[in-house]
Amino acid sequence: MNLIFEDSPHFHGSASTFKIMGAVCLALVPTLLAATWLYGLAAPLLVLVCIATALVCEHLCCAIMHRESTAGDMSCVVTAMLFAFTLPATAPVWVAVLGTAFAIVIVKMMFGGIGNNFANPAVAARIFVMVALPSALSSYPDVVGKPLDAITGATPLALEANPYSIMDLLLGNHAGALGETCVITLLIGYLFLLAIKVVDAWATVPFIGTVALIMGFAGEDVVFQLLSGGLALGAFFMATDYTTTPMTPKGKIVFGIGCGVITSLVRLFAAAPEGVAFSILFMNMFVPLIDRYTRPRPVGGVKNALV
Amino acid sequence: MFSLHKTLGGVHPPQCKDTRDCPCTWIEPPKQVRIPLNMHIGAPCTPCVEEGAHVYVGTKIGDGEGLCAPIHASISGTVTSVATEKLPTGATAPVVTIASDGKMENDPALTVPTYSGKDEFIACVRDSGVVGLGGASFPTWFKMRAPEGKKFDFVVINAMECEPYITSDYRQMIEHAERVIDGVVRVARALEIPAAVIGVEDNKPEAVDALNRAIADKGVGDIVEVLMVPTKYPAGGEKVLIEATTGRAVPAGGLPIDAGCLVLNVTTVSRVEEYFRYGVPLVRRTITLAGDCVKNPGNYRVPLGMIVRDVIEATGGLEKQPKKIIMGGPMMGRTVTDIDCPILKANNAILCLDKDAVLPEESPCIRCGRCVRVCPLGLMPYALDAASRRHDAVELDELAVMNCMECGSCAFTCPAHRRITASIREGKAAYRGEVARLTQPAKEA
Repeated sequence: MNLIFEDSPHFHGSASTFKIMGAVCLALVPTLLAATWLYGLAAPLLVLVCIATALVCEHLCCAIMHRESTAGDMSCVVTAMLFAFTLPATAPVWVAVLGTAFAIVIVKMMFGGIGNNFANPAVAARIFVMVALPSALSSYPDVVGKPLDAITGATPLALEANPYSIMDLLLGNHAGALGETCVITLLIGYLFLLAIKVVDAWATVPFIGTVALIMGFAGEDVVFQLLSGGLALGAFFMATDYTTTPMTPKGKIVFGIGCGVITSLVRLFAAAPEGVAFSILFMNMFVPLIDRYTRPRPVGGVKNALV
Repeated sequence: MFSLHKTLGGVHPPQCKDTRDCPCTWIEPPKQVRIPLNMHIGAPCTPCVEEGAHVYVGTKIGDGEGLCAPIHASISGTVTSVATEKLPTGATAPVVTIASDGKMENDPALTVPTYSGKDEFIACVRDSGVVGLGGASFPTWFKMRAPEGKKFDFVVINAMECEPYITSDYRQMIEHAERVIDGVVRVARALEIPAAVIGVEDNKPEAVDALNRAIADKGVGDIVEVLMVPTKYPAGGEKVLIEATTGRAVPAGGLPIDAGCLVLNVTTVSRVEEYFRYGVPLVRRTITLAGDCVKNPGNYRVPLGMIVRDVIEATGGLEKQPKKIIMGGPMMGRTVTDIDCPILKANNAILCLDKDAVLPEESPCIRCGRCVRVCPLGLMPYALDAASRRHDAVELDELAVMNCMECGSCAFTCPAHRRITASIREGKAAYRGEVARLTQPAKEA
């Protein structure tokens, strides 16, 4: 009789990386549908291009690194969808391909693949595209069906005064990146992930709360500030990324507040209209430090023999 | 009334306690037993019988000095060999093989023990051969000796049985509630400990009822109390149990005595009481036989040293070939590769698994934080795992690797299926090696 010899535990829960990443993709689908409705078929096509690029890049990287391919674990699909969501629906296909390749090859795989990237690949790629190819992203299309002269326009945050109603902002009925404008569907996706306990609110709530607080003190229109720009996408889906945020609730709160402060400072004082992506990338750098100083105290304390 | 403290972390593995209604049954005594003399934590016993000697049930066959508990013959018959063998656990120890004479006669020299005072009581417990029967196998008498300057003020009875599949402690409480309570009261009185609490998971209300009835019958409610604790693995981990029942924390590197607690498993205390009633030392134990490969899962009373193959055959055999045989529960039990290994004092279950035997492949850590959330001791399992894999003793030290009790919650919950617990176990060994290496020269100087 050949019996398996193995260390305990011999039981395993049903969670898996694939299921978790699949759930995140599922949570992004309502927003994708909203984007299709708002900006036309260009939106889902762009998302598909990004997903295909991500799968190919990840698979090739694994092959070059002589590793078993991790393309099947869905995590690169999440990255691709999030990156695509930050692009305007009119973005050229080559920009989408280049950005996704940057996210997967440079930010994720070159630092060791899933679980080892120091920055959120989607956020880093978005900033790369913004900084390196500003002309490609200069115009954001307005929603389909508006008068022709209004098809490309400035995003609400770039405008001097807010011409939109709360309803328009919630439904995403204005110019913007394809997956950032419809706050309602983003919220639905996030609540779904909360309900199945894939993500928590430890970073999200302090992030949004801090932005509300600072913007309120600065005399800005708080509701408008919360509902426009990439705040919803960032706070719901990027500040809850596993790999690039702290491990403990305490650490996540610190991370969320940091993101909120930087977002507000950029919105108030910087030349750029939006700061969510910058703030997340910036705080990503502090994750090891935050993790180091927010370690939980073990039950019964620590008795060190070496340090 | 004790306040119920919320314990950290924990997981909810499937319970699989299908044998909970299987009363404890005797099985046909075996023709032969093989009794290893290292069935406890501490020094192995030295054999005190020779080849060819006749032994009865309860005849002492091995004893030793220091941290050790005597071992007794579990069947009557003739000693056919006393030899040093390599055991499935990897250790080498003397093994006494006894061929049965089929009579199962008790040793006529056995008498009901009497005692006066703490020291005599502890000496009697030592004679009983009882060790921690929940799986730890720490000699019970040794635990009862409070070191100089320290005092027990709680007896904490571990009746959680939080491991899936196992129901042997549960059957003990249902069938012998009265003996359990007598045992608890006896231990508390003999060791002059003012209070005792029995911690039971709230998925065993029948056991709680049985214990409460026994307490009421005997009028010992002022000493013993039953406390229901939310069902969550590992509620029965020693430190978790103490925290849940008394609200105290055992300091790192310390023992339950440092929190004033004497922790005994419910079956252990029942066996101690059995010895004081009838004078028969620990020669058999109840095991839960379960898993999808056995024909008749249930709770069986088996003589110590009975071969696993014989136990399975005596209960009706296997339905299909198991891929994995686990001694103990699926969360902390050990696999055996040899079906001809003997039942030890601490074995509370034999699981023969086929369907759930093969675990999924490991993949990279995605830093999801689930392991940190479920660790009942507030550790950072993902970081311990990483430090263990690169043999970083200093990092392991900072992360309090020795606090880990290897409950397996982290590995159970890991979506990347990483063998976190196994890796931490290796990390502990590396850490101990490093500490020994660094402290050695200091001792020489």
